[in-house]
Amino acid sequence: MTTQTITAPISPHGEAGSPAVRVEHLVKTYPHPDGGTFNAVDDLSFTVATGEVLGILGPNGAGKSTTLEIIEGLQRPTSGSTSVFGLDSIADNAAMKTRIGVQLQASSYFAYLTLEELLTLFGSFYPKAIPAEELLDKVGLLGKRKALVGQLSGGQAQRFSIVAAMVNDPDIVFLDEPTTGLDPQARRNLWELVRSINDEDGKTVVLTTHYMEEAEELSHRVAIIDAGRIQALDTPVGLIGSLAGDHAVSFSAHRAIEDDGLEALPAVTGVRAKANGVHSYELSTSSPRDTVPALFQMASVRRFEVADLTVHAPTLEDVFLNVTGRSLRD
Amino acid sequence: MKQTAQLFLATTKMLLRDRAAFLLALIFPIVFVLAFAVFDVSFDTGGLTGVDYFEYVLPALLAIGLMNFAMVGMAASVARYREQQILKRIVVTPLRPSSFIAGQVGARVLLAAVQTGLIMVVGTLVGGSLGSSWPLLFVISTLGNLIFISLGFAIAGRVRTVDAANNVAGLMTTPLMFFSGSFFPVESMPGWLQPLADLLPLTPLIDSMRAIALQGAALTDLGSELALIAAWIIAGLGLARMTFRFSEM
Repeated sequence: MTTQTITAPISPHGEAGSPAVRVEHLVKTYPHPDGGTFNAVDDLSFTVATGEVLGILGPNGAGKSTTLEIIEGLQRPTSGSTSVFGLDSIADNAAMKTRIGVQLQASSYFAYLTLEELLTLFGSFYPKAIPAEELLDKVGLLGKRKALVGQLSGGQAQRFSIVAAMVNDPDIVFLDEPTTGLDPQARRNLWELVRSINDEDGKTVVLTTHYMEEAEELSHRVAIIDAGRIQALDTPVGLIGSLAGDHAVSFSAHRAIEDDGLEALPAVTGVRAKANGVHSYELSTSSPRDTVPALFQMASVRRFEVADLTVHAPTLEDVFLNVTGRSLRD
Repeated sequence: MKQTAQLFLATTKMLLRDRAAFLLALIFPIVFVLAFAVFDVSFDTGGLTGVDYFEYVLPALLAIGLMNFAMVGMAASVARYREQQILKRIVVTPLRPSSFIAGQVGARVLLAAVQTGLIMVVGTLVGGSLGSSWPLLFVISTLGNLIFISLGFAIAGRVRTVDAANNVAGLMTTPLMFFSGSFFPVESMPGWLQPLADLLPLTPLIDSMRAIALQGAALTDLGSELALIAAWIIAGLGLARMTFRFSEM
């Protein structure tokens, strides 16, 4: 059966020292278009350990960007506080900003400046800056130093905006949906970059994403966020482990299967009929190696087909579903 | 200081590279001047004898052209930065608003000086008389630009879109164009309106430029105009600093 391979690096639990980021009872209220108000961020508290990669995973509208922007000092919280390396995001706004690097989900750079000029300009905003050449070289854009941002491909533009976030050699980098809109190859290249920022450059990284694979691949710990709240926070292994090993066995039969024959199969903890008109079923099981042979046996005895059989090990998407009752892709 | 210098340099480059906008900024006032040169009109020029209407109006055209380029251009430019979320990217850095204002204003004043020179050359070639004290005219123009660029920035501090910036700036430049003694002398306005007209930012500019071009006035003759100009520079920069916000914070 398929084995779950966890590729996320080992978590550096750093609670003993002071955390890189501290978020305490953060609330952000907005007026609701239909009248009244709603909380985009609803009493959020968490810390980020120095040196770790924290992935914040959640669907669109979960409050990820808002949380990040408040930490970065772009917005004021309605209540609660955030601080980076002990510097409050509001009270110590200027000092804090010299220590952080930010890559925003939606923003632009001056259209008529070259990559080199942009990095030099942004570098001048800080007490000390890394030379533009060095930064561009790091992401393989040295050949594009005289190009304008508008002349870059999607992947190149994302690499540029990430490296622009490091112009001041910050100890922590915030990435808001760094791979959205990229093709799979560009996405993997970006993962390499993020890993090296953490491994080689030793920077703490906080990133938000709605891609489960990304959160799993890059993060030491993952915070699952939905409707402005943290629903779960742990290492990817820990989160998946909390599902008590629920694998999913899916198949389609050529006819409906009556009575609870499926539920009676060994190790099955739940049965879900998919209402897509093709008689598909999904069995939750704690041990596929016991369930699947028994399924085929039942199929032969009761004369139904088992087609399109898939067995998949639980992923963070299953954790999300389990914890919020909704699919990550909504 | 380093921040301002870098921004000044970067903004100058950007203004030059945006070819369409740069060309528009140069062509518009030149066309304006040429249009007026076509007409041969005798007018009561408020006591300035021996001067035809074109000569009377040219300094004012200069001032109006500068005012528009400065105020509308600056307001629209910064509003565009806000719309495109360029300002958002800047907010997360420690760049001080005053450095941002200084760098942007500085670069625009430099470009406006180039524009001024071009208008002066063309205006003189088609028959206007700007007198022989070009340097002085230049200085006054630059001070005038400083006023309107600052006011443009002040507008940009509060509007969210480029359209709004254009509208608000247009709302302000239009009355200024007519009530500052540009086409018709202030003396021909109703008595109670004249003191108000004299206080408008464009009026001392037009008065001093006209005096220099047509009456050979020197710096020392322009005391009261310079005082008003200085007051408006301070007011403009002060307003810009007060109203400008990088973000909603």
